[in-house]
This record gives sequence, structure tokens and C-alpha cells, in this order.
Amino acid sequence: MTQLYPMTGGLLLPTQRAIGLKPQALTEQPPRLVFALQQRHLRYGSVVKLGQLVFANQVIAQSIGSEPIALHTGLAGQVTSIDDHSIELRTNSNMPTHKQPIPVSMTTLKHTPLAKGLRELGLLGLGGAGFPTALKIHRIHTLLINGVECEPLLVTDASLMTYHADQIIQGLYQLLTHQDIQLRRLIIAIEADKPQAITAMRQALQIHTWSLQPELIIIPTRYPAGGERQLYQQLFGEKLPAAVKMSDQGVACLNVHTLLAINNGFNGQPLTHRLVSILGNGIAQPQQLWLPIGTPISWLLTYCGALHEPLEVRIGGPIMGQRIDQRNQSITANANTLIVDLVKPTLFEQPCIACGQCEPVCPEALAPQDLIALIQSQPQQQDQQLVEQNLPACIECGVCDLVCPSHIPLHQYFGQHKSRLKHLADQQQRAQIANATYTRRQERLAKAPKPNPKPPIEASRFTPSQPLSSKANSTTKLKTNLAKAQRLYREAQAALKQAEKKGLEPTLRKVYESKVGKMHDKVQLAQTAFDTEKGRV
Amino acid sequence: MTTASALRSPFHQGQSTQRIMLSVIIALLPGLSIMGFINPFWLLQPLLAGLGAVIGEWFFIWCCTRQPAQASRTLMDSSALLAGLLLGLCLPPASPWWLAFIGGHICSMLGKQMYGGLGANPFNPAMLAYLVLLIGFPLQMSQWQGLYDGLTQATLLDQATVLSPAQWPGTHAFNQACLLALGFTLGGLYLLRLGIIHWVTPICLLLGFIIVQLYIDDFNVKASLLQIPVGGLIIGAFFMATDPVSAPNHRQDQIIYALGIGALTSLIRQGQQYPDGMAFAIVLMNIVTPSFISLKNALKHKRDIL
Repeated sequence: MTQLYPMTGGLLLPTQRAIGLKPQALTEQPPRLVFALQQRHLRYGSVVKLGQLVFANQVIAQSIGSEPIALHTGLAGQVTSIDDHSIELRTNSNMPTHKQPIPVSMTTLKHTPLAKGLRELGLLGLGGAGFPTALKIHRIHTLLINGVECEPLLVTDASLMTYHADQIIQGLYQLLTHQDIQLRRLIIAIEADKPQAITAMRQALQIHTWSLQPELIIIPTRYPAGGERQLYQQLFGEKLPAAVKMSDQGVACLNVHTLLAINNGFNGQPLTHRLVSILGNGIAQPQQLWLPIGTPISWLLTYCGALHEPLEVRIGGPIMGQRIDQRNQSITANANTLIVDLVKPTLFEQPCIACGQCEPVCPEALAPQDLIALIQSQPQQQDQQLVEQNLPACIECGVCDLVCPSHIPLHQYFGQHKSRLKHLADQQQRAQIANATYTRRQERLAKAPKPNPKPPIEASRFTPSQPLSSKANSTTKLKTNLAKAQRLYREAQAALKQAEKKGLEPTLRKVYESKVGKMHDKVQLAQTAFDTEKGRV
Repeated sequence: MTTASALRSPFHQGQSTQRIMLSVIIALLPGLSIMGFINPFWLLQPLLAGLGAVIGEWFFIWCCTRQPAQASRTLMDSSALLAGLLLGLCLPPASPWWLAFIGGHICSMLGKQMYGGLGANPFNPAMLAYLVLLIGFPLQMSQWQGLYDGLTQATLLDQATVLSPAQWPGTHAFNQACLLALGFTLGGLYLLRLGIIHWVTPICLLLGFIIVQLYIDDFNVKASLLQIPVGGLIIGAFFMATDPVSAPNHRQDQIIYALGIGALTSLIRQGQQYPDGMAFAIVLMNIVTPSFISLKNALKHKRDIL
């Protein structure tokens, strides 16, 4: 039995999971798909043209960078608009689809380097952060499978583990057999309030014979126990410093849904669909659907029978989820849950009375009351102090919000200032690099001796040191010159012919003819030069 | 700014500023009922001061914003009422009625709204108002005897020159003081049970008081313990020093803060000028509170304090 360490802070919330929600497929196709190109960790660039017909599983965009990550469409259709933020596709179910799915390399994951294969399959973390999977599994010794969906109400991972445990475990098994993965430890963490998922996973684990025995660990129900940094603390007994990521420690944390997608990847299927739970009191019935990525939320709301009243839509859980504008957003890879609620009356934020309720519940052992006092006084002058108080370690779990008697949206403030500080730090770093480069150049210039005046050109052109090679060079040069001249001559001739076909004014025709003549002269000149040079050699 | 919908979610723990304040008022009830049991007229002072504080707060905000709705909404958090009640508990029962009423106004306006309202006041409003009254109306503030039958809390301390602490046990006044202290202790335990206050502050305050008092009394334990139920020590330990706004935010700072209040109270009691030092001790330690952060930072980063 693996030892489990206690987590700092956190809250025991009533999770109220609608367990028993079964994953279902859509009964009709969405009429259009909208792919968001600007995502949290990635920026995509389109690789399709306006009006182009695309097949299902075809790559339509690639992330910008030296190691691009592909974005595939789940449905066939025609590209109707492309801009900086999105690609829109009008789907067409009558279009002939390729019998064979089309991942870029046309090979399955098994025979390619893992990271490359995962990039080509477009795999992102499906737990909610959407971090590229290929970047996570780099030089790792421990793989942590995250089935701890700690936020209340969420059921996506739970029902995946209950109904698709065999596929998840199959994915894990295939991943382990891949040559690029050398593990020392394999941990599967599941939250205690999902007994069906635990039994299903346990059964699925027994199908295979493992070279490295997976440890199934049951994490006590507590919010936010499923955060990467919190899991790390509970499993390894130490807190990660703010700047250190789990992957820096050689541990990769993969969500169960990501593992399922990896399994599909081994079967040659890129990431095109994901399971989304649609919950809340704004829809007729909670559902769980396999949706193609890019499904517009407005269409989805109609499909699910949303009420015709002002609605508030959140992507993600009830605490950490983001409120979105339902009119022009679509499902992305990290959208695990859609919570559709009726609009509730607003509460007013009251001043902080420094009651200190937020301090013991903070899972990162921060002092939210001090942070909010700093932020609300003079944020610009307090940056240094905010960093000293470890604001960058905030995971924005929102536990402090839940206990705050003054109804201050603390984690929103912290999120804003965290990203502001990060931006500032990035800027500073870039400025430092630029400054260092500049000073180094100045030093170099100061050190270097005054450049000698250049030798006369005639002397340098025919230096006797390398007579043979220079001659060879001159021959090839003349040859290319000749080829170029010949090409231009042919082009000029072709242009003239085409012009004649169309019927041409005499003056214009003369221009064309003179050009052809000129080109002919040039070809002859080049030919003679080449011949003489050849003769000399 | 309106709040995030996470706060409107069913997962919010349901705590609110108003509920905290109301819980503290409920915690005052045992003490208040004992007071009413001893002499119903003594309840007039807290009620008048509470009324004064509420009116004063409403009036101040109305003057600033000219929006009656906002003024009324501010009152909803009940912090003005609570501060007024606490002030009234400290006033001598025989003082004129207008003193409590004015005190309530001072409590809300000078003690709290002048600094920006709830959460922004550096001093405990009730204690600040008490000191203003003590300095502004010294005559009225020393009328412990007179109108009513019997003596109350500070009386024993007033008479310390006449009646030595060793002679207190058995007197009518001392019994009443013990009864009241018991009532407020019960209220304090209720707050501890609810988790609104932390045990560190009252325990350390009493500890600081006892240590200094023992030293003053030449380590006569009995004489020192006799000092605890009299005066405002118990009510200060559970209700005044635990005010989260004016107290430091962190446990280790709170320990120093509470020890300081206890020690200062004991020291001020020895002086002849003022009978009870609670109010002075709390306001003095409130002055020190902001320095805790800079002191800690200075120690942490080995910088100069200023």
C-alpha cells in the first residue's frame, strides 16, 4: 500500500455527482464547426484554404512553432471562413469520406517517435488545461494517471472510467510498451467518491500482464485534491515550489480522457472528439455527449433543449470554470463540462475584514487576505511584495472564494494579477537578454582590431592559391548562367505564343518579339562563354 | 464590482460578514442577560450606544453618497450595531444617556467610516470611542455610582486605593463582576466553537496579563487571579482584541499582539490616572499592528525596518 501524505488546506464539499450519466453519441451532425485558433497554451495557423473541401480526420491547422501540433477536424465539410481567431467549416455528411483515417504520417503511433506521433495526432490534455501531451512525456520516470476529478458536479472522468475503463487501460498498456517510455513507477489516482469507476478500473487492470505493476491509489475526497501540484504533494510528500512544474521533476500527469485519446491514437485515430457533460438547471436533462471538437455552443444548447431564458454558460467546473459568451464560442479540447444555469441575482462584494478564513483552506499555504489587501491598495507598487508573498504559486482553485464572508471573488483577482506579473517577468527577462546581447556585442567590437582595408578586387578575384577549384567554379557558374538564359528564352517564347493565341496588337507584339530576340542573344552569349571555358579546362 | 458566480454557487460555505457580526451579537447575549438580571436599567447604555452607532453610520454614508439605499445596505452588515453594543457595555451605567448616544456616533463615524468603512479602520471602533469619551467627558465617565443601586465592573478598580484586592471576595460588587465575567466567557466560548475567533488571542491576552500582574503582586497568585474577572479584561479578551480588522492577520503576530495587550492592561491598571487599561492597551497595540508586517519582512530579508 502506497503511503499518502496529507494535503495542505482544501475543503470537503458536497460533490453531488450525477453518477450514472452514460456517454452518448450525437444523433445529428452539427451544421457547422468552429475551431478556435487561439488557445491557452497554443496558437494555431490554418493550413487549409477558403472553400476547400476537407475530409474527416484531416489536418486543418497547425500550431505555430518549431514543433507544430496538428488540429484535425472530426467531420467532413467545406471551409467557409478563416480569420486569425477561427476556422469555420460547413459540415457535409454526404461527402465521401476516406476509408482510412488520415493522420499526417499515415502510420500508427507505435512506429514513430512518441512525441512526434502525439504532435501529429494533435493530442492535448483533456482534463481541463489543454496542455500539449507531447511536451509532458519528455524524460519521465513516473507516470501519474489522474482520475481525481475533484471539483463538485463533474462526472466526465468518472463515467469514462466506469464505461470505458478497458480502453483507458489499453491506452496505458500500449503507452508502456512504446520504446520511448522508460518508467520506474506507474500510479493511477482515483478519487474516493467514485466507487464504480474504481471497480471498473481495477477489473480492467487485471486483463493485462504488466511489466511494471500499476499502483491504484484512492485519493480522499477533498477539493482541490486533483490539482497536479496537490496530487504531487499527496503522493510524494513535498510541495512543489511556484516555479517548478511536475514535469521538471520527471513526473507526467495524464488525465484518463487523454489516455483514452492516446489509445485511439495507437489505432490511428487523431484527436477529433471528446466527451462533454452538459449539466445545470438551464437545460431539460443533463447529458453526456461525444462531441466533435469545434461544435458551436449555441447549436449544442438547442440540441440539449436549453430553456429560453437568460442563461449563464460556464466551461469547466462550477468553481474554476470560465463564464463564456454562448453565442460565438465552441467546444475546445479542454472543455470537459458545460454548466448551463439560469442567471442568478448578483451579490455585492464587501470589503475584506481580514477574518482569516481563507488562510487555512488555501492548498498552496498562501495568505489570500494579505494578497487581497496588497492588490486592493496599490497593485503597481506592490509587485515585489506580491511575488514575495508567493502569488505566482496560486493555482486559482477558488477555495478562498468559497469561504470568504465578504463575497470577494478572490481567485479572479489573483488570476489577473498572476498573469500580469508573469507578463512583466517575461518582459523583464527579454529585456535582460537583449541587454546582455548588446553589451556582449559592444565588448566584442571594442576588443576587435581595426579591420584592414580590403585588398583590391582584381587581386582577390583570381588568387593563385586555388586555381583548380576556382576554374571548376567558373565552369559551373557559366553552366548555370546558360541554363538560366535558356529558361528565360523558353519562357519568353511561351509568352509570345500565348499572346498570339489571344490575338495581339502589333505594337505589343513587337515588344514581345524584341524580348524573345534579346533572350536568344543572351543564350548565345552564355553558350559561347561556356564553350570557351570548357575548352580551356 | 459584482461577484463571480462561484460565490453564488451552492458550494459557497454560506458565511457572510452579516452572519459573523450577528453571531458576535448573539455571543453577547449571556452577558447582557446577566446584566439585565442584575439591574435592567444597565441595559440602557448598550442599547443607546447601539442606536447611536446605527444612526451615525447611516447619516455619515448618506452625507457622503446621498443615496439612502446604499446607506441602508451598509447597515445590513450589523457591524455598526455590534460596535455600539460593545461600547455601551464599557460605559459606566450611571453616565447620562446622551453620552452613550454620542459615543455611538463617534464609534461609527470617527472609529470606522472616517477611514473608509468596514475593514479599513486601524483601531477598534468601540475602544476608540471609549477613549474619546474618557478624555472628552472625564466627569461623566467616572460616574460609576449614584443613580442605581449597586456597583459594577470598574468600581472595584476605582476604589482600589480604598479597598485592597485582598478584601474584594465576598463583596456584592465582586460577585456581580464574577457573574458578568462568566456570561461573557460563555459568549466567548460560543464564538470559539463557531470558529469566528481563534483561541490564541484570548489565551495569550490573559497569559500576558497574568505574567505582568504576578510580577507586580510579588508572585502572589491569589491576588493576581482576583484581578481577572474585574474590569473589562474578559470582555476585552473575547470581544475586543479578537476584532479581525484591527488585529494582525497571522497567528504569530496575534500572539505578540495579545500578550502586549494583556501586559499593558496590567501596567495601566497600576497607574492612578485611569482605573482600567483595556481600551488604552488595545488602541496602543492597534497602533503597532501595521508594523508587524514590515518587521517580519525586515527580519526575513535582513533589510532595514524603515
